[in-house]
Amino acid sequence: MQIFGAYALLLAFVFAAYGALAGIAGLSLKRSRLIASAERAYLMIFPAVIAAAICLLGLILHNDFSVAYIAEHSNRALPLYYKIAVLWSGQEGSLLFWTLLLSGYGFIALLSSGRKHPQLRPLVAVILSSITTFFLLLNNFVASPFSTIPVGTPADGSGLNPLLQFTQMDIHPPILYLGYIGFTIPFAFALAALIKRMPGDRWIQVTRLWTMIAWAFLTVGIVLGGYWAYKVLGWGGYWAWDPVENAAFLPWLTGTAFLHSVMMQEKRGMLKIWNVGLIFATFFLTIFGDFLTRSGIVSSVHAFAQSAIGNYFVVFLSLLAAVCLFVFFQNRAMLRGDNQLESTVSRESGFLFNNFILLVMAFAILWGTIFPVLSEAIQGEKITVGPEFFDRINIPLFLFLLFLTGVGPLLAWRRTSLGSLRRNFLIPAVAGVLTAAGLIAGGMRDPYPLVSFGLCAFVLVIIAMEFARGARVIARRGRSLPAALVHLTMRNTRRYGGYIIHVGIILMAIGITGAAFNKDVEAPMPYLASMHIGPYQLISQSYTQDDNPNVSSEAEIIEVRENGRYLATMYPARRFYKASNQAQSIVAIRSRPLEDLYLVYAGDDPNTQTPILHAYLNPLIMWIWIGTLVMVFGTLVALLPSRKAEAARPAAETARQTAAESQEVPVGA
Amino acid sequence: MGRSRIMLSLLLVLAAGSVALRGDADFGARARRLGQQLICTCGCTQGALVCNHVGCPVVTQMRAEISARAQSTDSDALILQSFVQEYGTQVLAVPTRQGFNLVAWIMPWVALGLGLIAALFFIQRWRLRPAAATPSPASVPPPPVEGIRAEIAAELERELGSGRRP
Repeated sequence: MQIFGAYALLLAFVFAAYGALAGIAGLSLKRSRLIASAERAYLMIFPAVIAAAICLLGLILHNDFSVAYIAEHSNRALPLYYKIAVLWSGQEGSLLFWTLLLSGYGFIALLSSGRKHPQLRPLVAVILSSITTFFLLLNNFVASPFSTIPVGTPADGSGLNPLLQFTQMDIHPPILYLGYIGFTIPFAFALAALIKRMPGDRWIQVTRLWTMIAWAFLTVGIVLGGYWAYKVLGWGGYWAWDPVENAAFLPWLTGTAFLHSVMMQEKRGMLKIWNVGLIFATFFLTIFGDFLTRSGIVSSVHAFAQSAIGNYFVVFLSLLAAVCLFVFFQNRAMLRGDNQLESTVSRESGFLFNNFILLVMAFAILWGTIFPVLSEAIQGEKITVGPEFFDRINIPLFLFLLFLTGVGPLLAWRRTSLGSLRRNFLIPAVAGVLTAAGLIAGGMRDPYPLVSFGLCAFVLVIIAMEFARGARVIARRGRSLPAALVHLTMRNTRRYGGYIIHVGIILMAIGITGAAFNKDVEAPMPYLASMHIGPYQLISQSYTQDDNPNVSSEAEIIEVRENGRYLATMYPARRFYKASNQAQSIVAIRSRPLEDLYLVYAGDDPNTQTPILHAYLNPLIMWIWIGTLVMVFGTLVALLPSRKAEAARPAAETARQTAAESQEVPVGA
Repeated sequence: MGRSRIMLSLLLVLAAGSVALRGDADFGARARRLGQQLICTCGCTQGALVCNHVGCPVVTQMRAEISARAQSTDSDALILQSFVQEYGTQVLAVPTRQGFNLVAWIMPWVALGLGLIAALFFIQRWRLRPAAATPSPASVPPPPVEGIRAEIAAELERELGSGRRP
């Protein structure tokens, strides 16, 4: 099976290389049969990579420790569901998994979107073949998952990294990869359209659709990563501005900017150069993120071990940049847009500022991420750029972005009168100010949370008013309010889906702002000792132990009381993973809408051997997860086709309606 | 302002107020303040107060040192410098604001300033540019926001009045 898998990968490489070379030759010589054969070769990559992935999975499930990758990342006692995660838990396997998803995405995109764009299809196939060739080159000749151990087969493997033995790890990497890799498709279509000198409006739709899909996956992937960190790493938080976390956030920011600015191109023919630049930058950042994770040049709990594979990525990124810049400068004449603005107070300006803030945030995060490497190269000393740096720069920018999220729907395309803005501004602004006033009355003094909660109220009221206006008209006809809301939303899914996504962003912002009020206490907890955190009393009741072939564990039994009333029993634990000889804390969380009580068994006091309990009180965190679900729902709504009464609309009103429909809200932050 | 709007505003205020009352932050100890400025040097890249790796060879000693030095009369800067001497510059959670490290702090704000200038430049340039000669849907006179909303409402009325079901 190992030989079959290796050959399947080699075959996939041959298909990819042929697809790229034959495609380029066919397009240059205008040989249609050569072009067609290149496309077919590209479509064969996916089945070949599937075969290789199935082989590797089969070898993992059969505990074939003659394969070095499996010996390093699995063991006999590992439960089945974690054995599946072995597929992407190490460098070689995760690269194969990347290639699998990349070829799968390309397969679907070429058969669906490619059919609608026959002019672009051959070129898209060549671009995708070229990118896939790079990854298959790594799979076959640099980091093969099928390499065998030269001498002797171990009786058992070293086991899966304990940090990865959690249910979330069966979901988080595939979803995150679907986000990362998904941006390859809009990149391929954008580059193909640019090479073909195709006017913007025809290819921009397919690019936008695939960007939305990738963006949604990346959003969920990033949040699942945060959820994993929160549940597994046991430091009480979900985001540490770790280089690898930042690497995932960067394409999210540029992708979000694109989803907003692309509407300027669709509605007004503006920002064509900018949009192509954003798509290129987003794809470039996904590969850069992969490079950061795999090269080991930055220290991260999420990174793979340091390896020479980074050099290959540097070469690929350089080639990529060279090709993109060359094509861009060769064809920039076709990207000249109708950039014309009637008023500064317009939606166009709103989008411009939105893009500007997102890009500055992306730059600041990229700068902070690579600065330790720069510092080491220039000063010879590696420094740390920790969360405080990123918080100081990004919090004010994020608050301004939140403000723009609210203002956007109040701005019309082309021109908005100040009087109109003032009238629409009044009620949301009052809600925002009242919220901030209520918080001050409640004792809050920190300016950032005050502004953040005030802005959240401001934006939520604006969105609620937008829904209420439309739904009221429908409800007047005797429909119930929920039915009216559904009708309204389905009439223009992109617009109202965008609003729903913004609601999700606001809920996340509420959850993130809660971090300003985090508390924690650490103390030794012998039998029947107690400690207090916030309104809770924690009483150490006893200990419990468990043992199975994979892990042994010991847990504290902590009784939680509030005002003397029993609330719950929690079991913060420590596990010892036998195969890897590693210990790991297992967090106990009592999650409620207002706050999470988060308990960590932090080890034993070295002098007294008394167990130490670290308790955290994290307000509002649940809203981050709820907000993400709302964002996913909003994206699904935005992806649905709208049910518009096109037939019933008089022809004379079409132009005016176009202007009205252009009130759409972008999908994204 | 309608009754529903007043209710909504009140609900927001109450919800926010209840959170604020429960969120009485408990910061302020010197050791904690110092600890937040230091990183565990075991390689985990987590804060000295955050690292919770079971059996971490560094953090227990670091915390003891932070606690002990916080008792001294030395200034915060001096104490942090003593950690730098012991563990290297990597122990500081953020770059210092001296020498080359100052560039780390300045560059994002330079980017913000340059970006702002660029955004304003383009807005001004596009405002001065004459409208395209070819008529397009975008060149239809723009209705004000209220006009657009009234139009959507009227269209909904027509659509529902004609007996169309969603």
